[in-house]
Amino acid sequence: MKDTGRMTDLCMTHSFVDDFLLIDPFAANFAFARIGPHELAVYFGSRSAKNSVRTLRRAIEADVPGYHLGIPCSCCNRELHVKLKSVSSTPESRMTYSNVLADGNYERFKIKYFPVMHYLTLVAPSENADIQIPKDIELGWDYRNVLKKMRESEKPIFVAAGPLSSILVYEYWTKADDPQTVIDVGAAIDPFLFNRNTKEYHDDNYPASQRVCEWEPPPLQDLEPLTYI
Amino acid sequence: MHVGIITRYKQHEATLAAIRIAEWVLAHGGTVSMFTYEQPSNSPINAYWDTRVQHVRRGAFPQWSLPLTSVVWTHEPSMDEITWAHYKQVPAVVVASWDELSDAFSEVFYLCTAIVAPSMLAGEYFFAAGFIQSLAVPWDVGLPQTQKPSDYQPQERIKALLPLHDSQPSRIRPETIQVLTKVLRTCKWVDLTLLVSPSKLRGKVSKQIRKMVRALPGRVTRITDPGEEKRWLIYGQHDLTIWLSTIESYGLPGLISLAMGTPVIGYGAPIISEILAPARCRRIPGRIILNAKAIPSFIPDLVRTEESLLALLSDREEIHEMANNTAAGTKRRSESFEHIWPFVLD
Repeated sequence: MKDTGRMTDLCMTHSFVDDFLLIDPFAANFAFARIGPHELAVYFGSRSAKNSVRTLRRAIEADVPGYHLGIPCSCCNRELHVKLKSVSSTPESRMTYSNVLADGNYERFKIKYFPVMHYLTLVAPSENADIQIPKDIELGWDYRNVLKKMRESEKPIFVAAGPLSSILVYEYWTKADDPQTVIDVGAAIDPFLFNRNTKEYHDDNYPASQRVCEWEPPPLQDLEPLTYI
Repeated sequence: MHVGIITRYKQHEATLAAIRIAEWVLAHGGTVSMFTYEQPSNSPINAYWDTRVQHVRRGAFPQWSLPLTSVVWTHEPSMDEITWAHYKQVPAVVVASWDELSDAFSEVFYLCTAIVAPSMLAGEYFFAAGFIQSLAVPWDVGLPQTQKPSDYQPQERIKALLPLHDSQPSRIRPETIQVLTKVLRTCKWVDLTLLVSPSKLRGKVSKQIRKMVRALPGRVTRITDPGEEKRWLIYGQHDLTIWLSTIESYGLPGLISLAMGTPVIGYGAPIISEILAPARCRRIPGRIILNAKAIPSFIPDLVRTEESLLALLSDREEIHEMANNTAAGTKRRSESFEHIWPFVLD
């Protein structure tokens, strides 16, 4: 029987920096999956009845104790922000920015986690990962072996498995008997795994590395509507 | 009225523009001679004009040009040509592609009788550059407006078209093809057709296309551009046109697609954004910068490209709604084309 006693519902503040501090795998037991435009495209566009698509739907719609969602903020993509909030049953207090570990928080992420990676289990398409997956996997790839290895982990888990990340986080969190904290970190971990920058925000010369998002930006009432030729 | 049209008769938007002007003159009772300095392309462009275009030697003006009442260039003429026209007092009209201007274009354009800019923004540009004889004629492809049938619904699998004919490959940034590949790997319900002029597809874009075909086995169909009517029908047979060009003069792929009733998603680049009205199209944002000649060029935002493509391809209802509105604005565009050309050529 699954032990839900240890699971923590983090009460997200929707402050970009404070939410980063709350998502601490060494302080609480929780799951954090990020839903982006690709997952949402499959959610709305795919009419496939395959297991992978059904699981992704559940991962988006689910309201599971300790399960947190990262969604695009309204300052970056208002349409997705609104759509995701409407389709997911996860309360807003368990939702935060999908880029909470990236962009303006990446430097914090690097300082906090890169020196302690040996205390974490990494699931990624890299030789440096503890649980390796192939490169360029697509939705529908058979992840059962990966899930089995994740269950054996006794350390908090960082997942960077591309399109499968949210499914792995959800499946692990809902099916493991005594789950460890599991976080979908995405490309924030790439410089550690591949020794090179793969996103603009990895390089502090780019504006993306300074970006601090807002959950609900103030309405732009004073601006004139755009007119086109 | 005997109009001489000088064009580079090959697979290029300017040649299609030349044919459009020629057909307009013929329809209004004039006669047209079309000339090219280069050997005409072997690929079919237009069944009528393929056999009638005259290949003349560059710089040899007098004999063939004597009966002409006006001369239209669909590219920037040389200084010799325009000086000759000026000397002979033959009205010289240049339909100016602003993405292909030479450094010395202002001296040449100064001697033109009229400069026709195929978009409002290009018209403003030439006017602001001091050419008061410039006229903005928003381009019209001259096709009858076609709409999808009333019971049209995008099918289980969405059919998208990526135009890569004429000079489109040189107007597309290779990294946008990479983004499209990534998007289509997620959107497994979308099949893509590439409409290609084989001789034009080369370089980094060609490499990215090959990668895309490999990454999406069985989902990418490559069709060699069959030219004119058959090309239009190919546009009409798709649910959506993905137009990734970042700079345009005439905007023909977008205009043809809309005329055939197929909605378009493309960049909000100058000129392209004049064609992609919000009701029937989706515009992807990016940054606009000015080059040394103060001509705006467009830097696509790849993240927004990915998000916009994903959002639209996952929304069949939106595509359906857009397909119902493709005719909006077409009449006004065709009327302005019809009204301004007599003024230019008479």
